[in-house]
Amino acid sequence: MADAMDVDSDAPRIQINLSTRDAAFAVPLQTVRVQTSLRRFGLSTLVNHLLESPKPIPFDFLIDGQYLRTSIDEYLTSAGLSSEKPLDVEYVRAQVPPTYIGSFEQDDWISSVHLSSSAGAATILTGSFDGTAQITSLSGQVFAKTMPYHTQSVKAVTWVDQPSLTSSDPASFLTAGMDRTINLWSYQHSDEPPSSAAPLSATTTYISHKSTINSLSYSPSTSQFLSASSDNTIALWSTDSSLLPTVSAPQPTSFSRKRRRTTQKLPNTEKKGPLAVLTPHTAPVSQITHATDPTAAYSVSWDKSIITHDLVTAQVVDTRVTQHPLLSVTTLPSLNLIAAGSAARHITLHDPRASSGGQQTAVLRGHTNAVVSLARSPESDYLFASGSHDGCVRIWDVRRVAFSADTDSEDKTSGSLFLIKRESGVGKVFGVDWIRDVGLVSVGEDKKIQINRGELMADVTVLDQTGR
Amino acid sequence: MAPSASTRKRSRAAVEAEKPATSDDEFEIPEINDDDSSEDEDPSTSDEQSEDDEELSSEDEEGDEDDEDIHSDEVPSEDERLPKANGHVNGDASDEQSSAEGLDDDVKIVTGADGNPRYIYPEIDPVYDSDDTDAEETNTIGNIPLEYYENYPHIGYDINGKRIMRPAAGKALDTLLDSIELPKGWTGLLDKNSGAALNLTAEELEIVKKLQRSEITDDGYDPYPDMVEYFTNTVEQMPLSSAPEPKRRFIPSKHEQKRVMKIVKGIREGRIIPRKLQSEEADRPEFYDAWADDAPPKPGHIMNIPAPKLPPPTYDESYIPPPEYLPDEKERKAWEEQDPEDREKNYLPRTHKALRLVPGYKESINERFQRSLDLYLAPRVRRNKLNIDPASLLPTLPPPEELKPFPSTCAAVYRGHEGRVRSVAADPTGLWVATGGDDGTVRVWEIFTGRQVWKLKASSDEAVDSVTWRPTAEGRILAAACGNEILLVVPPIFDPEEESKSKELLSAGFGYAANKQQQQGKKEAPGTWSKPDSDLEEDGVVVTITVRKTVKYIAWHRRGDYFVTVSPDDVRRAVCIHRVSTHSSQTPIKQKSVTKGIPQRVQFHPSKPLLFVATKRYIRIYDLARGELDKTLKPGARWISSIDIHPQGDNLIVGSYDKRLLWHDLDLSTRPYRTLRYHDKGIRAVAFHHGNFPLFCSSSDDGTVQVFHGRVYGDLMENASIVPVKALKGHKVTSHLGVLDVDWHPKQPWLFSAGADGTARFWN
Repeated sequence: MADAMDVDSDAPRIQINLSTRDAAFAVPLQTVRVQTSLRRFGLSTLVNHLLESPKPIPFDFLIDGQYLRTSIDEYLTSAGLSSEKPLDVEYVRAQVPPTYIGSFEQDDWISSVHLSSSAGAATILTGSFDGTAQITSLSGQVFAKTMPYHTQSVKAVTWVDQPSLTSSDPASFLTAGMDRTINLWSYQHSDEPPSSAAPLSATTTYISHKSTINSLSYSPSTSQFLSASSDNTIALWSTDSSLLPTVSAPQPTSFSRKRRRTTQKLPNTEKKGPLAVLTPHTAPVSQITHATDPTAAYSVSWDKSIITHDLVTAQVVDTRVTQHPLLSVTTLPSLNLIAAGSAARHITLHDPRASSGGQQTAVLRGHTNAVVSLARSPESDYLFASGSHDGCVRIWDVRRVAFSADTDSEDKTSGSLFLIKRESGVGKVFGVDWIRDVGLVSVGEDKKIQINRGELMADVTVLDQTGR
Repeated sequence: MAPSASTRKRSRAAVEAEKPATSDDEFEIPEINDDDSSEDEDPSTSDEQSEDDEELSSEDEEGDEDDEDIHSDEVPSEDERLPKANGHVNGDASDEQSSAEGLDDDVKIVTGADGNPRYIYPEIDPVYDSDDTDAEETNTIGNIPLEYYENYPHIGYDINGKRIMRPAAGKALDTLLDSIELPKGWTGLLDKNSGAALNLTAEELEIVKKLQRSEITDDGYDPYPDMVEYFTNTVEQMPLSSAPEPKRRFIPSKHEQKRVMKIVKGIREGRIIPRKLQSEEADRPEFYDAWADDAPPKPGHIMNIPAPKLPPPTYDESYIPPPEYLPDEKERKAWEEQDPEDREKNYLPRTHKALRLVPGYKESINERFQRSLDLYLAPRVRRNKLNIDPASLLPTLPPPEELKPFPSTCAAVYRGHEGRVRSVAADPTGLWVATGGDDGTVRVWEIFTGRQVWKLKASSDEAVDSVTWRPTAEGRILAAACGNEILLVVPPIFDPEEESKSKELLSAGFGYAANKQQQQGKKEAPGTWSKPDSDLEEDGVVVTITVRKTVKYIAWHRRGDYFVTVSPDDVRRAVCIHRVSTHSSQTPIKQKSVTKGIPQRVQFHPSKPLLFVATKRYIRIYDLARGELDKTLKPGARWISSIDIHPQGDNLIVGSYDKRLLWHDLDLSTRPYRTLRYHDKGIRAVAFHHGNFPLFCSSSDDGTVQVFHGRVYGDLMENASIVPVKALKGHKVTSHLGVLDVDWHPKQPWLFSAGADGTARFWN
């Protein structure tokens, strides 16, 4: 079988053990003898040949946790290995740098983004600093815009019921921002964007926080959502309004009074209080996210800690203290890792499980400003993207990180896999989201929604010939 | 038996000859001794003795009777006396003998030769235990040559003063006989002491001979011993040992090889330089510079300091100087007339036809002496240069990495102000930052995103010089100085509850102030508290305080009820303290004149009722409780720009326009503990971190902000440790103005700076 590959019988050869963690690409024969002069492309061709796939799929090869970027021969020389021994090679689907697809401009800075992934109805929900949220299609058409219920900037948006073409139920989403309130909006999706999009009006207003709400996290399985605020608190809410206590509307501030006068009268909304308020943090809570288990959540704060909450009892399960104020968090469920972006320009990886001993940390360096948004890859368990105030989105591969036992040694660094700059060239990135149907979407100070997409099967052939 | 007969004869003659000798003695003695009493005894004793001596000596010497005759012939005068004396003596002697034998009378009276009676006393028997008869008779004449006694019968005197009579000279025949049969060792000489013939023994003769030959007189010394040949030139045919030749004789020595290898190694390493090659020797210069190195430095003692070199001689010291060096008459005269001490040179150039005609140099000794004096009296000291590495003098500072966290990069730029940003202040909650600028606006920004969330147009023509937040947990009040107005603002960015609470806090004083004014009436307050106009009120301004002159700086008291303002233009009421709860203003420091200096900055002490007022040169600390001056600090700066007090209250930093940042320890002294010069231009603002981080910073017109790590220890014995950790560069210098204000985040190690380039920046 392996002889099929050989061209020059005199060339030095090495036995390699091919393996993959992706069941879709498992090959029947796992040990082959190949020439040591082969590079990634040759190996990729070999695997495609073994898979007998109709269309070649680009593969990347990991040897001892590192991507093969040279020929096998050169790798052996640099690693000081002998070609006598069989080499364990893990192959993964190659990551190609996400290419720029397009960007859509809005009126003001965009603070947050959330993508809906329902089949056929991929939409982009964005929150803006002007206090509105917008739903945009992939073609850049604005499906809907919210009415200015928020008197100040919207800082967080999240879908509750994602729009789909199949169900006739209205979709709904949540927005929250500097005006300390969370609004629930319902939205009826239609394939054709309305010619004159009537602004949406909020149905419910959730009132508890005393300061800017920085983050929202919705868990579909429990129909509950969490909000993290700069008043050091986390509030637990439910989308089922009947479960929440009704509260009175806050007295309008002078700011809102002035604003109200200039705008049209807004319909009243239901005012609801929280299910629970969690106050384990001592500084502004910057982001919160649900764990795989919907009864658990992770929150990060300026007080440098990552806290694991049990939402059922509203108790703190675990507290991890890092060395820098943290601004963003995301989970990598299959790896049991939490990635946290800090104000000190790096991302740390933590294992939240108590059994891990609590100290397994890796540090990813590369950003030059605060890391404010993290999004895991829909395609790979090992990838995630980070958006930073330095105006860049970086894509990281966890496999490239060597884990170290102690947190203090910050030597374990790694560069990012890919770097995506703003097409406009300026401004901070405030939010990123990444789903399969849309791609990697980032929003920021340049008022633009920028879409990048990793190339999939369609373009593989072309790419492969370029040698990547 | 002939000798015995001759002795007898001679002894007689000796006795005869002796008697007159005694009489001679009697004459002589008084010349020496003036004692009369003893005078008489002596002759008798001498007589007795001489007789005994006569007896003894007679045995030895013989045949001298002829000599006596010769004597008597030659000196007739003596001979005449002799018979008389002899007669007397003889009689005396018989008398003596009889008296001695008779043992009766003690004194005999005898008629002397001169006819006078003479007392002769019996001889005293001294009854000596010892017998001294064998004592050698010595002549006491000393160094007088014997010839002097040739004419006398005696040859000298013995120890008792008795004459030693000349040994009787033998008759010619006797002498002839004697000469015929010469005694052994005869020399023909007379013993000086005894007058007898001096005979020498054979040994003595031998010694004399040896002395004459200048040989060693030692007996048995052989000057020419037979040679013993210890080493011979004859080669023995047979070896000393019949053992076979040892092996070591013909294998090379290991020891030698070791030594050779040592040398070879030394040569290879360059430690040993082998003898120079011939070619190098040939390269030697043909001529030497005789003056170059006349005294090669001695490699001697470490303390040896070579004498300083004299300058080499010049042309005019030559014995044939070029003619232009020779002095003419006038010069010569002038030189001669000059005082020797004033002369430029202590010689006149002279010419000589040949070197051999050069006379001795007169001044040579003098000059040598002077030179020696110079060398001796002016001690030469070896001056040790201190080779100190300047880096080692600097204190070892911990690396900045260990002092993390501190701000290092610019995380956000707050753009919006038109014109300079004059002032920056972080909200006590740490979420917002307020800035005030030349465009008359007060703006509030979100820290991380740099989003402007609120803006107040305070004035259209005046700049906002200072903004500060009330430093308390509740009550979100921002004080902004705009022209001669102070605006107390509640920005509408907070929770409505908090906002209304803050507004109440501010407006509560209106009623109080109204009551008070009614009571007091006339007295003019330094500040007027009033409600703003409706536009401003809608923007969140609650109270406006109007003072006389432009307010440059506002500082809050930690409790938030008081704040103090500075209007440097108002000489008499430069410092005003305003009370929020009563809407009252007062000038605590009554200043009579400008001499005390124009206040630049003021600060409340963080815990004590003290007010720090910084004038151009001094910082005066007023005790507000007692209302008096507590202390005056003298930082030594020319023009103080800003001050800040450490949150613990014992330390103070002062920034000055002359580029210096001064750290005062209030417990130590009124002088600065440390002066930090890290800026190229004047310092505009200084600030301590008022949270948990031991940080402070200074901003300057050079566009940088210097961040320092300044740890203050609770122990009074330990001084503060100050380490510069970072220079933050980013602000552009516009019209010679750089960073105008700085403020720290209340809880995080984050810094905000306001620049003249129209931006404010956030550093983390």
